[in-house]
Amino acid sequence: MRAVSLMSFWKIKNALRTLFTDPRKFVPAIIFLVLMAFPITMMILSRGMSDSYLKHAALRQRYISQFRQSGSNTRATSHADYDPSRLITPRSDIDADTFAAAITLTLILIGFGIINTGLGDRLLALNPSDVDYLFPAPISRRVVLAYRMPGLTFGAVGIALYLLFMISMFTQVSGPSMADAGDTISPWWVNPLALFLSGGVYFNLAMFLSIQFKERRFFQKSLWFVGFTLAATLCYIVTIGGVDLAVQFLQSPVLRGVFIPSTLASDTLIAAYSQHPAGGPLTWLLVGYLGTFAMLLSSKANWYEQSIASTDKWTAFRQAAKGGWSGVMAAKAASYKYRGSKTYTIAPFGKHAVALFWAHLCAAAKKPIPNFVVPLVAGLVVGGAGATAARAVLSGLGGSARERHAATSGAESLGFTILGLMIFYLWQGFMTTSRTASESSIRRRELIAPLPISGWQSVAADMGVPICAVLICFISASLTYLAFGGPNALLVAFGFGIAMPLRLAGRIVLQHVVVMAYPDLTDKIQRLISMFIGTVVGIPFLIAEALICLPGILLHSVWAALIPLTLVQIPLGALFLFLAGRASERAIATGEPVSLIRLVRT
Amino acid sequence: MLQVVNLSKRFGGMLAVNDLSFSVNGGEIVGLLGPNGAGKTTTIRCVASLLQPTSGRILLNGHDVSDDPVAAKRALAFVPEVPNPYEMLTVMEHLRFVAAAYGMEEELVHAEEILTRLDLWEKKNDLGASLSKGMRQKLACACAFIHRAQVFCFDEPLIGLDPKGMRELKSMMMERRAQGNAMLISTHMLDTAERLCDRVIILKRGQLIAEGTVAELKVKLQSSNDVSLEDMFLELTEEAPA
Repeated sequence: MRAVSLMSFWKIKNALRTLFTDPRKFVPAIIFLVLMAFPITMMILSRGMSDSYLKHAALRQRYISQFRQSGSNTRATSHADYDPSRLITPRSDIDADTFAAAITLTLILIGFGIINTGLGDRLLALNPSDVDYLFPAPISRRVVLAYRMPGLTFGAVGIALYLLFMISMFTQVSGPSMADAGDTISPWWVNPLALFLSGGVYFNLAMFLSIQFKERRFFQKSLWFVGFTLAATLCYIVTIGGVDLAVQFLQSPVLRGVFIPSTLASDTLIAAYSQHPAGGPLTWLLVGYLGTFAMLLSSKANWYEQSIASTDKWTAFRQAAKGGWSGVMAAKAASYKYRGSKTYTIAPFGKHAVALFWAHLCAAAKKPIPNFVVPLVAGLVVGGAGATAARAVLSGLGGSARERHAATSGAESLGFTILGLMIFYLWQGFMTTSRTASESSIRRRELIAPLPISGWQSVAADMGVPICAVLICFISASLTYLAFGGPNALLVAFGFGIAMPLRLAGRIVLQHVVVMAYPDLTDKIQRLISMFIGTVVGIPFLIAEALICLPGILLHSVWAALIPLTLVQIPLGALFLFLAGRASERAIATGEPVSLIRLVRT
Repeated sequence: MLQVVNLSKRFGGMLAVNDLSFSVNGGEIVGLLGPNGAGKTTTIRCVASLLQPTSGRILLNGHDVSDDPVAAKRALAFVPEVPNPYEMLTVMEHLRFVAAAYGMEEELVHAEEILTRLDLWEKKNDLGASLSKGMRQKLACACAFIHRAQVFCFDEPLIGLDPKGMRELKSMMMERRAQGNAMLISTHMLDTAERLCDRVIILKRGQLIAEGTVAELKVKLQSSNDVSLEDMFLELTEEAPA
């Protein structure tokens, strides 16, 4: 134990020493600190608001009960403190049970994720140095496991912080009704501790599964099956019985029992609203955490072999990650068992850039699920969900302003929020995958450079596959929306099927130009700068687009905004393609990174 | 000192080592030879308790590596094929860590001598991350020699070393042999094996196909005196035409 403690101390000491001698290494540390500081600040701020809210809610509760006991003319002792005007809050109230169910569901999903990690390779993947120096040394496996535990604890802390941030953000928008609040407010540390312990129990269990079973794929597939079954059941329940039935389902004893760490954490988090003290569930969580910790350390399983396999796999990924996204994708593809087991022979087609595009398309067709099926399914889901949500909102409209507000403020608005998020993530997903294609094209430059293909044609061929995926996704979304008979069908179908893919295609090409300006894929800092510049470069075009939409906004006509916005994407796309072609030719000619400013000037 | 008894190791459907038995006595250097995929690294990794044998036993100084791994490993020094030092540990800290892990910190008095012989003394405060491939190999060897191991397992120890490093390492191995230590060395360098090893074990597809001194192998194969180990190795491991 002493040797391992010494080694850990030296590692930390030297890491800090290196950090202070090389300022460049501060950049990831600063980014990490900012990422950590942001949720903590938000939590502290929201905590202040929530406390004030809960304190007033508690006063109100006490006042009402005293009022009921003493008669309407009796003034409660706390009445002077109770000022209903101070309770005005912009949040929309939901009942405590729904809130608890939402929290439980989130924690169940997190638990699923952690257990899934344990059944994969991540938890057992150590440093290759540990395999070479620690495993053959006369140090017990229990000590080596204990050496691994801080990593797991850190993971649980990270998840607790992230969840607290998400919950505190969510409760600013929506939360349990004031009337449900009790007069007990837990100390500030209770919620973070509950979330940490819940995550910790799952991490311990996941690690236990990792070390106990060599072949974990069967369990992992079973877990996915259970997860999908649960998700499908929940969707079905929401469809037939609405949110209330789903809440009942999530509070069923079986589900609570199976995911006991999640339900206990949820009970702790909503203690103020459910009027149950947080002490009970928190104590059980602590018992569970210590129990699973003891179970883990008492295991006699020889887990070195599976750890070596996991370490090798993760080392290959980490190595590949130094070469950017495309490297990771290549490493992932190489890890598939079916590699080399199939022969793909597709006849060449076309000439020059068409032949190059055809080659990319054939390569993508070898992995049809991520390249074509996933975009198709995503499009179908977005189109279907969009039509359903929009119809639900419309059906609630009519009557007084208050009724309209009520109709749109509930589950339907949540549906629209989810839909908006889905489109946002689709956009981000396509930008990321196309970045992979851009990075791959840089790697292939030496192969492509001698071919008689002009710059813009080469870029068009390289970006062809990601743009095909974009088209598949958004056109399928558009058609699904039409098929589901969503309101304003023509407008939405036009937006999904024409405007969105055109705009995204332009941005993909623009991103390609930026990637070419920062081609050193092994330099993390350069890649971060590249992503930042990519965002900055897009801002002037965003402003131009907003100006183009201005007449439509002033005329209150979506068509008047959408059509010019769509039309302008054609010259913009052509401009981006021209710039990308120019950049590609210069990069090939000089072998140097492309200067974005020179590209525009001359 | 090292006894491998009926060792078998299976990875899924592939039998990497098949019913392998051999022993390495004190004061002996044994070469583990074989073509790629013969099971040399798997055997050595089983001896170092990195892999769990599917069946069979491995005894290190009388301790079974499966039943009593800590006691067994106390007698063992292992050098992997491609050593990965801790990036954030200096050369000297590696030695201190290994000495502490084996509970032999008093042996650190030999650190300067070992590091000097392996041309690492000047780099004693350099981080593992800054070492070249050859230096990493030398560091792993230095860590192996710093504690009082009875059995040494080297997986391709000479790969990546400069000629001086090779010579020094071989001489350190011979010194340890003279002190009564047992050594198992996996290598493809047949001329080195011929000169350095007292006995060789030749594996093919996980099975032992020949064992003995070079002279004994010559007798077994009815080869003339001018036939080298390389010739015999190629003859033994040659695949029959399909």
